[in-house]
Amino acid sequence: MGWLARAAANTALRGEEPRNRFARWTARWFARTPTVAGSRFQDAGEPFPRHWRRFPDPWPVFDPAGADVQDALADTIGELPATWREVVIARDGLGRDADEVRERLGLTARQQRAILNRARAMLAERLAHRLAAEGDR
Amino acid sequence: MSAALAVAAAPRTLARRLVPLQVAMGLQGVILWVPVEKLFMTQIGFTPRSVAIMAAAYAAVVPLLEVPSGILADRWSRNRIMVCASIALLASSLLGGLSTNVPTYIAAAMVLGVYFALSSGTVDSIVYDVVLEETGSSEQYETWIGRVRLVESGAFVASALAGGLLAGWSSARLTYFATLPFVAIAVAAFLRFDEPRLNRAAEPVAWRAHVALTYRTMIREPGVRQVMLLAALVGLLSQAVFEFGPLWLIALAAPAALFGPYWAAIVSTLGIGGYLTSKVNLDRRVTVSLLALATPAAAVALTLTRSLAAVIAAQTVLALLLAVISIRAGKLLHDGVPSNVRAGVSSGVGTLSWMLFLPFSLVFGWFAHSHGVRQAGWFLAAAALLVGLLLAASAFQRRPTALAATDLAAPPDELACKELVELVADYLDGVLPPDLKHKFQQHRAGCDGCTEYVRQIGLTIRALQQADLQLTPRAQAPAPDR
Repeated sequence: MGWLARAAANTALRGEEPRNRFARWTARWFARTPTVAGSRFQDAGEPFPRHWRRFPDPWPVFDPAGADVQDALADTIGELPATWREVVIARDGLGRDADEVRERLGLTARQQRAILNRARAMLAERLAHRLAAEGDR
Repeated sequence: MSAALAVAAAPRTLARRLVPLQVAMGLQGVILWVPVEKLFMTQIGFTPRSVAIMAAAYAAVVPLLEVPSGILADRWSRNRIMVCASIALLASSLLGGLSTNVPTYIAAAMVLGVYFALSSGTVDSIVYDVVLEETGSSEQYETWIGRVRLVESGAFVASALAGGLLAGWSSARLTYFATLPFVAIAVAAFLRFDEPRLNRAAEPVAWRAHVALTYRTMIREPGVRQVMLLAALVGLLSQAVFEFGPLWLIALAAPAALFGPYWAAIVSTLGIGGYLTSKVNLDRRVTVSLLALATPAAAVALTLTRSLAAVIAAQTVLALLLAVISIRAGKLLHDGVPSNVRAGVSSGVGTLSWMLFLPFSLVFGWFAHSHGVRQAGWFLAAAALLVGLLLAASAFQRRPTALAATDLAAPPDELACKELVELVADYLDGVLPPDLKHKFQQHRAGCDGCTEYVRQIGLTIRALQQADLQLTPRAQAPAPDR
């Protein structure tokens, strides 16, 4: 079964990069699964389509090394999909190089950044949630 | 390092992770009794009338359970829903094989309905989220669902041939029991699969709110609504080809020996369609337009021809096109819905498809009875035309130019907040081309929301830098070795 999976993955990777450089970025502008929930942006009928419906709530005074922040972070990291967790820990937690992370996980440069972007966004959102909930108590 | 080496060296790539799922789907497709079911049913006393009662009982179970089981899959575990589906298939095969009369067999058929309801919409949701988890985008979804469908339909074809041989060599009843071990191993394979976790909410959502959100996504969003209709119509049409296609052969007095190869050809289109989908670029307007034209053309050809060979060719081509379009429609649907309601909405398509199919099949049956099958073919042609129109609409609406016409406040070549959040990692890594980098900075300077968003991402990164984190040692990563 191993050779079959490998052959399949190689075929998939070959078709992965869009043909031109500009398309590589703009392809992500339209639809696809958004990194930040689509409902947080205005629709076509509203005054400012594709802009924030409501600005992100400003965070309170924030000590990145504080125990509450670190506890919340540890929990939210545990909720990430395994590959996202690996990427975000290696890049941001351990300061590893993008190419090193990419090769270790067998990702393309573009996939590595897309995963990093999604993982950070999810962490930021859940972190905000937890800190707000603790602030209420 | 080349891509091939990178894939071989990394234990947890997309391909590796999906192997157990593909094995499970292949084994679950080995249903040996399908080719001889009608034969067996006659042996235990079914008449055309009781066959119709069975079909109705079965058709009532599937749509009732579909959406609830999809919501359950989103909330609980999609993998375990697939295990439950396999168990229902197991129970149905066992009960069917033990049946000696009509009522018990009808009960078995209803349990089979549970299997269909549980598995509908679940596997494609699993594949979509795994692709998103392993590559950060959904671009490879069509490729991978195509592969899963290829494996599944390979199993259908093989088991159709093997089931016929087995029944000829021993008895039709034995094919039911011979199916059991395959499905049992499928359960084991599902249990070894590392399922995606994106659909798990950060905090528990109340049942009522989740159900309401699922239905709201289906009904309120115009984009989702249109794609759902497309997907449901494709489902209706392929079901009609599978269900009524053989009637053309009967009308043309085809020899009995032809039915086996004919059926194998029709079933194999599911897999070939999956393979084709991974080979052609469905983001291209030309390709989609060709599909949208070819589908009604194949249906019209089927209606006009009187030659047996042409009928089989037209049906095979139609089934093939529908297989491709259904994967495309699934992609459009999944792109438009969030992960936490994915399986629920996807099952909604199945329900809608059944709801449309029931009146369609009644009218088709009545018309075919009074005017002949060939004339009734125009119903297929009409449905195919609708599919073509909706497909074309989906391709042309999603273009930036179409957006610009209705959306003057923000021309799409301008960077808005929604696009900025997708580019933060690229910006921080310094890999954006100069013009995009300039647009990014310009937008952020004038937008308090995006300034705050990027600041929060920066704070998150700083918190990560302060944390005492370690990478999972590779050896402990759950990478099942075979």
